[in-house]
Amino acid sequence: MLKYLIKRLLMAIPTVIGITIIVFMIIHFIPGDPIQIMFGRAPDPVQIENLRRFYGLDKPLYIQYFIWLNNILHGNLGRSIQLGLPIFDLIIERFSRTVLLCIIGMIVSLCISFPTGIIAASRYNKWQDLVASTACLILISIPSFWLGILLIIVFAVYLHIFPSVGYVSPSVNLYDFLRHIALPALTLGAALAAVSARILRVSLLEVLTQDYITLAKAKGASEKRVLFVHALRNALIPTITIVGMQTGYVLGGAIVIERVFAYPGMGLLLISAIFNRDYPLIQGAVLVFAITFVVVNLVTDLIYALIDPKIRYE
Amino acid sequence: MKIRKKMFLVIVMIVSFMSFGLTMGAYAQKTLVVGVEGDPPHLDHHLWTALLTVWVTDPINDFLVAYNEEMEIVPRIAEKWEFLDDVTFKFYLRKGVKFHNGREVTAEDVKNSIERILDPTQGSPKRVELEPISSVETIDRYTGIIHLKEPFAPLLDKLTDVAIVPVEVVKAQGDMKTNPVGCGPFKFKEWKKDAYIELEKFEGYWQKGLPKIDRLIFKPLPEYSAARAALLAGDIDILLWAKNFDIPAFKAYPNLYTVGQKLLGAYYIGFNVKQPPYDNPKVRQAIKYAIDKKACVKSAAFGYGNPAYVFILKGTPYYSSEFEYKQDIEKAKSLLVQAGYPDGFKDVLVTPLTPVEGPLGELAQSQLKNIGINLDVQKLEVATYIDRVFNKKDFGIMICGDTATGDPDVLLRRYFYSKSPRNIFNYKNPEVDRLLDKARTTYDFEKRKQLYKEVGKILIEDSPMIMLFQPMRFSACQNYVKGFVFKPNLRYEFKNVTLEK
Repeated sequence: MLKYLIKRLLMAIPTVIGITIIVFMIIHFIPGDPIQIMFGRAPDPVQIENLRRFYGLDKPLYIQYFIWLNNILHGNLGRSIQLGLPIFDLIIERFSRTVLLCIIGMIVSLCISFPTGIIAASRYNKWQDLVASTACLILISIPSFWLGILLIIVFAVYLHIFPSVGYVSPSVNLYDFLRHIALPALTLGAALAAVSARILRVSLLEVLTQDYITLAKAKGASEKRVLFVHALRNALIPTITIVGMQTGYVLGGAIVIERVFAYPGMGLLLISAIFNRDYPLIQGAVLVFAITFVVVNLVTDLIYALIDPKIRYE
Repeated sequence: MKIRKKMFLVIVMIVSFMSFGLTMGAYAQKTLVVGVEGDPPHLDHHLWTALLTVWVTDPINDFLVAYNEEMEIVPRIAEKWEFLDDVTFKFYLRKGVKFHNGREVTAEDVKNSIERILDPTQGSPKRVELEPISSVETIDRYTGIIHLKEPFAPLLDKLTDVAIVPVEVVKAQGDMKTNPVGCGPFKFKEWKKDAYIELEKFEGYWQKGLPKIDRLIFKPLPEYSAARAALLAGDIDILLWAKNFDIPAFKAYPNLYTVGQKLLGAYYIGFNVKQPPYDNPKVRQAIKYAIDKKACVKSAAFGYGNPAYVFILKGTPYYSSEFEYKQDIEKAKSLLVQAGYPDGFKDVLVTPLTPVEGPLGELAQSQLKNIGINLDVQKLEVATYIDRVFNKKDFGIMICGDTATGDPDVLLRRYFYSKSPRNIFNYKNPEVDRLLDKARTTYDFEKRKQLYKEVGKILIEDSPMIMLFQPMRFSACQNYVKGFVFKPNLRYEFKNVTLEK
């Protein structure tokens, strides 16, 4: 187990470095640079030259990359060109908010998908299954962006139950925090819920046709026991795989949700960094996203191994 | 039974929690929440390039003079002023004007603020515009003199945008990008990036009784439909930019009202006059006569705006009806023939990917098809557009927009003066240079008006730029918001706002 873990971690390092190199090249080849953006439609060539030199943007690209890499290895993420603030602080603050949104979104999605998938599978082909499956199909087809605005119009404008946009820190006011995060988390969780519910339904249906289920029923086990003790555990494996894969979608979808709801997370930070060509901030943010994906994939594999004893001994 | 009791208790708790939250609001201070279309890049007024910075920092700062809603210069922290001669401007400060850190504003602060903008190591885009200032001298605590290199008529216009700041704070912090300090009606409290910018009432503001609200909060809402929903839900009090297409809808809501203003700004088609076929003035003039400006207003501004002819705009006293000309497709066609393009030509039109300029590109494309010019419209992301057009000058024909101030010198010089670093059109006309220099160094209004009239006529004839239209811009407010001021140069004032809930 430990050897597996170490092997995976070692493989992850070149992956992450590769990502940073590719992103570095892409953002430098896109037209525009942060100093030009600072001056917008009123360029002042003298000051632009000075500032380019000050930020080291006049050096050759590979040198700029190695300077950045060297700083990272010493734990220094640098400062945002646009704001002058240390990137590490910015990212910690914003990334924790995005992670919070994603976690709550996933909890919401699990709360929706589990009952839905289980009901749909246990009432296979009856009206409950039909309703659940159709609802899932609709949710998967709706763009999250549109769903978000729809939820705002219904719940904020007409019903006045939740606020429309914004964010309140849980440390400032927990109640307000929950009110503000309800709609974004629901939007984020909805599509994921639909996918998970469908996968769970299909895996449960497959498992329910297995011999050991028939045996359990013959032994007199209640439907509840059959479902939750025997069937669910096996059906969870493909479901967890999909949920793990979907984490990538969730992190990316958070960017769109953050913009719609003006939720001040990593997504908005990265978008504005890209528009302002704030190179160090883009690099830092992408590095964090890349490391997160790698870690989440690793954790998914570990959970997988934990649930299915067969995998552990490979 | 037990479960039902538990559920009942839970419901009672939730309801009481919610009503507790509602009543708390009644004791809160008077807070105005303004929804803006994005987060400003920074909060340093001297370094502003994005209007977002200025909207959020104008309330924090004060200036020697300012424009009122009628675009007249009115005194602010300068009580009075006079020109001792053509190159010497003397100002007299009010006594008792304080900075937010408690220190009194003196003539030395005016000197330092101007010098900071002029300092090439500070990175202020306004440095070039204040170049005619040679030095600032302090006479006594409240009096100072600005020495000019040559007569400079736009001086007062420039001074409306020079925020007077405590320079020792700038030196201590390095800049005011994240922690601005000024002498305006509101004090900076907190900036949570992408979440809100909070300002609070400055008790020591020199205008007694102002501001009338206790807190001013700006909320960056990048998604317009969500911002609109926030206004309808009552989560924001003012939507700073209510898009033109939405105005009929807003007018239909009984608890909202809209404030409209004819903008001192315009959209235009620009040419790189060094690149064929635009190096031929007849081609440019042909395009000028082919464009239907009224259709542009209808399409891109939803009818809220008026045609424009040159960057001397309606709403300033320098505008003249002699600038106006009519669309004439036959003339356009014959000009093209004279230029040697009887069958028209093909080219690429670049435009930034924004809500107005984008559709304008397509509109120009369809209108110019009428005279045989086939344009391929390339909509570029804003930063890419700026790089290509304003830095590399890599274009033949483009569409853009800009905001002016009350003085025509600013934009005319920026775009058409041959030595201007921002003359992206490569337009060189010594007569225009001469007239611009003369108009800038003449203080007499009637003489200036006449000079700018001549410049305007030359520019319309030469057409390095074809003005399309001046848009109207709107804000949408809740009915209980009173006293909100919206000026034609797209600057806002919140110090007189009251909330009559």
